[in-house]
Amino acid sequence: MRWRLPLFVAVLVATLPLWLLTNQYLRSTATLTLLWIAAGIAWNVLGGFGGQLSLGHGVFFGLGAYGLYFWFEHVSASSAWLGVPVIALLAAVVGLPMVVAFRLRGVYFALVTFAVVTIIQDLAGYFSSVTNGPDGVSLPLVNGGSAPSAIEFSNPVTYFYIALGAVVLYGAIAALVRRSSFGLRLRAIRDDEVAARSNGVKVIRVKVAALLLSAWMVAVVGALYMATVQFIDPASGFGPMVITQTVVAPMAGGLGTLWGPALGAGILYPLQQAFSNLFPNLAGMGLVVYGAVVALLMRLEPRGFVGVFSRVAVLWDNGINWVARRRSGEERWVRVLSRWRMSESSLEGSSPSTM
Amino acid sequence: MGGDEQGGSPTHTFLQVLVSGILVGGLYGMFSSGLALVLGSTKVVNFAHGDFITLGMYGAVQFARFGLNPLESLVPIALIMFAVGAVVYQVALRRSVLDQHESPSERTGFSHVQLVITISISLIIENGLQVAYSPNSQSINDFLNGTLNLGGIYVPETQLLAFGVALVTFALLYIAIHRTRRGKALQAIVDNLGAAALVGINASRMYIVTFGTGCALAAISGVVLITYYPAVPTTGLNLLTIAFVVVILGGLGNTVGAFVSGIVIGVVQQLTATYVSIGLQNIGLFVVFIAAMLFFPQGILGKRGAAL
Repeated sequence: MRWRLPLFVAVLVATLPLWLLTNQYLRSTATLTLLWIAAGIAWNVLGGFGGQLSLGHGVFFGLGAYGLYFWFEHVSASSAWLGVPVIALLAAVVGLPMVVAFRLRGVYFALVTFAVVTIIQDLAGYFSSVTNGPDGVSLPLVNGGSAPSAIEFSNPVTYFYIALGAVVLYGAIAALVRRSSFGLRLRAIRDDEVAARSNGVKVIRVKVAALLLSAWMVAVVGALYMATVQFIDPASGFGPMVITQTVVAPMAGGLGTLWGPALGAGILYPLQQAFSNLFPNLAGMGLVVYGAVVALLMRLEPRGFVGVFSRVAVLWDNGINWVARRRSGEERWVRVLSRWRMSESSLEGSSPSTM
Repeated sequence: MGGDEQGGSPTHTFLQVLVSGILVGGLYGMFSSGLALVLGSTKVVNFAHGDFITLGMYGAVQFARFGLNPLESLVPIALIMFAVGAVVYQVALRRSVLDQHESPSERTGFSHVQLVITISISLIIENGLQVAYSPNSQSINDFLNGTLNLGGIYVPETQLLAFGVALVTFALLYIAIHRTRRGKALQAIVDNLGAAALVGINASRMYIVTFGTGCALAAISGVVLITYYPAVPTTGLNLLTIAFVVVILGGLGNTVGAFVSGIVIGVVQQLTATYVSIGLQNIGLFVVFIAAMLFFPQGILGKRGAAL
């Protein structure tokens, strides 16, 4: 049953506010962690499954966040729930010119997307009549901050559950994508684009579909981030921090795996916050530790946290065998039997005359 | 690094902008050739390169506290950063580089492991500097404050010095790559790794030297940059994007191309700053970059045979 572990983890996380997240600081850290996990899952659809290492997903994140602000200002605050998916769709479409970068592969693609997000950040700071420039914008309070239709809740735990809902939904989407023929085509492109094309995969179409899906998902996270934090500026919307949280975290977790983004952001973001909190006088200490852990991790285990966990699982299994071996003398016979079988199978491969 | 507004005729303004663009561009060319050297030999896309420039800047600030001016601290900082680069490569990157060269399974020739590791190093440096020196900007103001008047065109002495250092350093790099035995060995590695190994060239050891040299080049440009441009811990990010633009326009891994396109980019940036808006100076750069990327994927100067 593949859904048992995710279900167990989701229920466990859902109970966290009851016993672990006892103060507002812990709750907001947990909420942001969940949002970064969601963003990582979204990035992983294109970056992990499709192998297109986009550094430009900050464009969609920031557009989603600013989009919610514009929706509040120019449409209506009370239709915010409708606004989030619509804004995200608009953001994905606005970012669609990024598909020209699909002509490029590997490092070129990564660098062009990096340049795109840097341009957008500069533009967001430059056109201050629209975006209020580098000072950023705050989401207006509706009804004193208690308006469920405007995604504003007086009880901050609600944001935690919204973020958890996004993570569960995204996990399901990612699992479906992975199992579908669409996901298979994506992975074919990742592994060998030329071979995929020669086998009839419409490469550009699949890449564009993956970009749209991934962009929409990230933009929704951006809008939810705005609803939670209620403030955005060019640096937090499009800046290098967004690259770190949406790109580095899932890669450190395990590129192209289902659990990678959850492990990456789920371990690294709380770690960063813990160390920032531990050294309140040394701003930046959290990210120093973040960087050191990620660099060390990737140096020792390029598959990331998923790789570490699978190694631990193997060790665990071996450990259990080791205990069993000492308890009973049967182990010897198991070994003899397995050798026997191995020799049998090796004989099968050779010609009958040698028997 | 905006253009200085000078009164006078349009031609005069244009010449002034051109000169300051070339002076700034020489510096861009120097640190970009460091990035190109690393990229060409090890294939590592170093996202921490900009932060090595910042380290050079803060190094000069630190040495200034000991009473050394930037010109005196140039060589010590270059040597220290060479060692730092060599250690960073040896500890953090060597394994993934060698893995990748042995089995180029990723046809794009681009390793996400290196991407993550270099971004992490960049995080460590930027935030480490913030921890050590606070987020406030650091500068060296009491070194070469004069301005030369060359036929009506004003040139700050610091920028002239920076350009001179860049020229000399790049000339040394060029000689090292093209006129020495070791440089020829490096070219052989870039040309054909397998064949180079067959004639007894140790690529793994060479990469330590090239990565260290790349860091040293970045640090040297940082040391001269600090004489006229204040440093904050995140300065490297802007310079990194410029370096990427320059390196890609010059043809990936081509040091001469990087130096030349560094000057081009410096001029483009100053022109945008003067004639469009100083707030958009980098946007002009990136637009040129993306257009060039899409229409000249091999770089402006192209890649002829063995690069570097």
